[in-house]
Amino acid sequence: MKIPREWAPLLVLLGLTLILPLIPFPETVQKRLVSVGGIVFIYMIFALGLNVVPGWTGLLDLGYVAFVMIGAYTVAILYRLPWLQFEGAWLFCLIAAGLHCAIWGVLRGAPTLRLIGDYYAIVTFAFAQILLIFVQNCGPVTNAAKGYTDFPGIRLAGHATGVGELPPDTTVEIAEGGGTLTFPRGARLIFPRGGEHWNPSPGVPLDVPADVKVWESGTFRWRNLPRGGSVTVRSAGYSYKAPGKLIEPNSKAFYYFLLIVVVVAVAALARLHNSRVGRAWLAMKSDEISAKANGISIQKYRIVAFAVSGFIGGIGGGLQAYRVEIVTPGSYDFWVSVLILACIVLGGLGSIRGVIVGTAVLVSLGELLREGIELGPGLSTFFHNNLRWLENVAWQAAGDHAMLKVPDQARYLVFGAILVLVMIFRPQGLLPPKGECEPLTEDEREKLRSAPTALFRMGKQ
Amino acid sequence: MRFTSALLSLALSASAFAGDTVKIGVAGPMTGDQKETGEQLKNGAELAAEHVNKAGGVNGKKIELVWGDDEAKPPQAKVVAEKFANDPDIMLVVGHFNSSCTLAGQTTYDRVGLVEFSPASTNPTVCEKSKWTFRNLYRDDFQGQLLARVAKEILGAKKVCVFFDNDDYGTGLKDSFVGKAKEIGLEVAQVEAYTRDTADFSATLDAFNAKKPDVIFISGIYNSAAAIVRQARSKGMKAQFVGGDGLKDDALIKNAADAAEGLVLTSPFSIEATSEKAVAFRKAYNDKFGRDPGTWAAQVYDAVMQGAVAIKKGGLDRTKILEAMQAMNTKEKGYDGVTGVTWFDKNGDCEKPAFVEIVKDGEFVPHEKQLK
Amino acid sequence: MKWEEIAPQLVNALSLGGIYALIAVGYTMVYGILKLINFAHGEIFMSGAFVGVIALSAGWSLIPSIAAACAFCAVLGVTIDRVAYQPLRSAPKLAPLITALGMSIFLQNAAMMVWGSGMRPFPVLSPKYPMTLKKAPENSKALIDEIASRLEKVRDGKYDEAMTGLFLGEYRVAKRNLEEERARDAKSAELVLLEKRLAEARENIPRVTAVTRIPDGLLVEFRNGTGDALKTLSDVRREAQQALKIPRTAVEWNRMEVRKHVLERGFMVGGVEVQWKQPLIWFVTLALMLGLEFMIRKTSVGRAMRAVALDQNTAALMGVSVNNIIRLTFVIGSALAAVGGVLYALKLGGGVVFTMGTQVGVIAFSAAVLGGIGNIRGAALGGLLIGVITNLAIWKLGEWGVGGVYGPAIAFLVLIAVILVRPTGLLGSTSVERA
Repeated sequence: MKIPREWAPLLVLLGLTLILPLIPFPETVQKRLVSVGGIVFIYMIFALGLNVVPGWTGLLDLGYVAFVMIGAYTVAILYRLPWLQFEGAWLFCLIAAGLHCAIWGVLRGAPTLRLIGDYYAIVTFAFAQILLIFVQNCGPVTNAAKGYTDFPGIRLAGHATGVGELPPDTTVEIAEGGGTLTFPRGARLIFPRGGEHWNPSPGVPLDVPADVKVWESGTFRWRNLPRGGSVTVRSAGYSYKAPGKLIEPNSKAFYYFLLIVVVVAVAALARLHNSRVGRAWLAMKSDEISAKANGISIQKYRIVAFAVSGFIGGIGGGLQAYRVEIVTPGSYDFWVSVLILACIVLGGLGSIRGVIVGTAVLVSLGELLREGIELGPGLSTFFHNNLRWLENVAWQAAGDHAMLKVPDQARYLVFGAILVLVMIFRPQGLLPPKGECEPLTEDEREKLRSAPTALFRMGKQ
Repeated sequence: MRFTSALLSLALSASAFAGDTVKIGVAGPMTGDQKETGEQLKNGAELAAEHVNKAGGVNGKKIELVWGDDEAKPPQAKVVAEKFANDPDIMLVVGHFNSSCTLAGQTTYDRVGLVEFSPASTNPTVCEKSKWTFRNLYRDDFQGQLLARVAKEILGAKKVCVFFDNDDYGTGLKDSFVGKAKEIGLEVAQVEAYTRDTADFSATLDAFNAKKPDVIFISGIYNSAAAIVRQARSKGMKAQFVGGDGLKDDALIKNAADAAEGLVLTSPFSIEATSEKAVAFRKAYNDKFGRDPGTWAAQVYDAVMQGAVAIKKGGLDRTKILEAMQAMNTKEKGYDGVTGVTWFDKNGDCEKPAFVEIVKDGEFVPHEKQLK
Repeated sequence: MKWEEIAPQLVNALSLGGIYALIAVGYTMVYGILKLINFAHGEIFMSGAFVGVIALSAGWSLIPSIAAACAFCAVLGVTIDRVAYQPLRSAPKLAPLITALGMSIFLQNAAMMVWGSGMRPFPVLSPKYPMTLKKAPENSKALIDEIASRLEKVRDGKYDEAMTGLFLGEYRVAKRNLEEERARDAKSAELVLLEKRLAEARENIPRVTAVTRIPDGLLVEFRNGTGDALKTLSDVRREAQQALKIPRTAVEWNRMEVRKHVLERGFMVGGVEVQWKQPLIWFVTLALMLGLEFMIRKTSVGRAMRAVALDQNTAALMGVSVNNIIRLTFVIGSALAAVGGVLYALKLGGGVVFTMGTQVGVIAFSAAVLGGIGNIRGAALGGLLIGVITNLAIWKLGEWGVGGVYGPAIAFLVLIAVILVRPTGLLGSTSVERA
């Protein structure tokens, strides 16, 4: 199979990300790279999902955070349900989140099919705002401002240690880290003394020092019990399942897992883009009227775009929830939409490799600006003596040394300035789409309109 | 040479002179819309580090503070937590600020084993979940119940309206206030939320005014509260305002001007009622930053000081530092700081008295009546 | 529904709507000409509010403050256009959008670094009197002596020096110094005595709550510590009359309330108090809108603007300087946003903060869309509607127990509903634009 040349940057990037956690940097650096890598991958997924609508169908979306939020909340709500405690439930929840978002994408998009351009943008924006207000306040569904803090993370397959009938006063050994215990109404549980921490399912009040509790019903989760801790179950009909190994959010395993998701998403989207659907999108984006004239059902293909975009956003949101291990409304404000949009426009709207590179640049830039570079004694003196006026803007004093660092309060200032500068010098984005018929810019259109003879020269320009 | 080598490993948080310093991570919102509270955190921590270092440091080593900006957003808090947890030089984390951020960081700190010492998260569940998490202020539920009693017993209210900030702090405080208020027979006429970026409270205040409440309880922080009381007074509303510790800051009085007069609040930290330590702290803070410390600055100051004590006992070993923290489990073994004595129960929560204060002549002074 | 409940809500809603309209006009004008959502417009509004509040705090009166804000924002608007938009006139449509977002982030953080992250309080509006604040003496005794000597001055009728801040401020410093001195030396008899003197002084400090110049003299309003601790109030009053040579009828002593500035005061309509600032906001908004409408419809500059909005190239061929017109658009839009900013700060009275631009900006943008983006009358109507709907929804939803916090959601729902029925907004042209 021949690999098109424009995929080269992506392959280089893939290679880099594959070996990055394996390079023997000092441990601190390596872990930080893995940590930031995970965040960047998640944003790549968001950016890929968002790109489908503005990049390929030409409709501006200012409320993409809505899907991230729906995805995260879907995962958070489903993953704690007692009847969803089977192995691989995390995957089920993730896909459910994607599908849920796909539905919302269609619901949001379907009534707006008549709208074009910025009017669609404002609907997406308003939708995200309404949803955020709902999530912040509708306690029964979303737990309001507190959100879901008790988030179990992705666990690999666990093993059951006891299911079914047991004589009274049986003690169940608890694996380190916790597990899931299901028991019938009225079961009596005895907890170990010694002040360890447990974490019941919602709705079960617990006075911490008590060591005997009568529970109403349901499933019970805990964690952070020491190895060998135990819970005594004085009841028949319980089941206890030790947890599987947790994929730690800040681990190489999670890093590679996210990388795989990104690669799968890229492959799927590239395939879609080259299919009949992708070509229909392109036709619609270039010229809606001629697309219609050629028998393309604008409505149908737009709906498909909304669904795909929503699905990916939902998956991304769910993954972010697993990664961050907490879901609260504070994580989903307007600026998330802005950042994702900035990623794709910076990279090159409508080009997968642009989206990937743009996200990698922008999100890691945000993290890079947090780091400082220590300067040697010579440079330190130079900075202290000659560059006082730039102190606390570009560098900071650290003891006798100087650190080349953007201080926290100026980080976003620099971020904003970089965004403006990059767009001025490269308005098409870093890696604009290639090898496909691009829509004409307003300038080119104007030339065409005013001077039909120029048409023949256009191709060369 | 070092410059280039550092450039090569860009993400390296420099630890070249780790030998002579002890690092403490301080996490909170240093940018974003809650930056101002983050600034207090920064000031309080800086002052504490300065004091510890002036007094000879910790076991002969100087404290170096490492800032972690979580922007008050849980995903950012996670990144910061991972950065701190993975840096073996960091011995203890003071933070995070918002409960949701403390909880987001908690799982990471817990897994790696690093003490997370929050000076500001009041969500009741924060400390239950991990033995590595501590805090040096009381929980929302305690304070909310106290405030309901203040409304009834000190202010003699019969009808209250509640205006709460729609984040975890405001909501938690509101829940316990409303629960207690109903229990002790206060009429809760209306409960309304606002968001932190709300600037115009007129509509809700007019609605409250129509209900003629005796007391309006503001469950939020000082910036919004200043705007609320000022807008209310300029409408000629006469109701008594009551608030929690989030209101205690110079900026409340500065921003609300005369409208703040008579506002009643609870606070973990009262200059007049506590030791000369508090007076000295206020002076030192005022000398350095030119303003009086608010609740958070004092809390952070104490947290860093107490953290330094734990490091002194535990040495450069994260587990031993945890044990040193856990050992502060009675009032006698606790740390006596500017906000009173901090000692931990088995969850890592602390018991502290709350003072009832009132704004009088542009100052926070203890209320003449205190609750027992 | 009682009149007493509806009236204050309507009053609020109208002024809020008016302010939104002022800001929405800026969005709509830029959009009309450049087809660009100027996200930085919210930050221009925020800067205007800041400059206005800073000017007011410095003792300027309202109109010069608004003028300063307008001038600042006009320059800012043109600069933004020059830096971030002009190089991208022929770029793909989303590129300037990103520079707009970048500008917005940049300006917001620049404002934070220049003006501080805290809330900048709206000043208490009242005529200022020059007064010199002295550095507080280190020693408590000296300070208390100072207070005592000042009390003498009050008795001597030197009222200009009897400003609140002087006395209370020094009292506080004295108290604090004394606390610290006592902390060092708890048993000193001298300090105990000083503390007692301080407490006495505290009782006697007269607090002048306002000094207002009225047509025939000064109106000095004050209260004293306990109500009767000064020698005799009537003595002071007599002395004041003689010293200031003002007629008896113009002197009102010992009022217990701060006399408010006219904009903070209210008048009664049918049993409902309306603050003067509210009609001021309506009037200013209406006047500016009519002025703008006149300019656009009747003057040659307005015609040029409309021409540029319709077709830049043709307008250029007809001798219109397109770049100048674009600059003028930014000047007008930014100046209106600045007026909106100052009025918004005045309406709230609580202070301004660097994050306020985004929040108000997006609502104003929604208002522009609701009315039909590119249409100035539409922006005015949309602003008004959004303001009224938000306000009434907060109020009624609160009353029904749903929670007033859903109010903004209702406004957005209405927005969505309207543009679904009329995709070009309420007053936008009905022909659907080609993609």
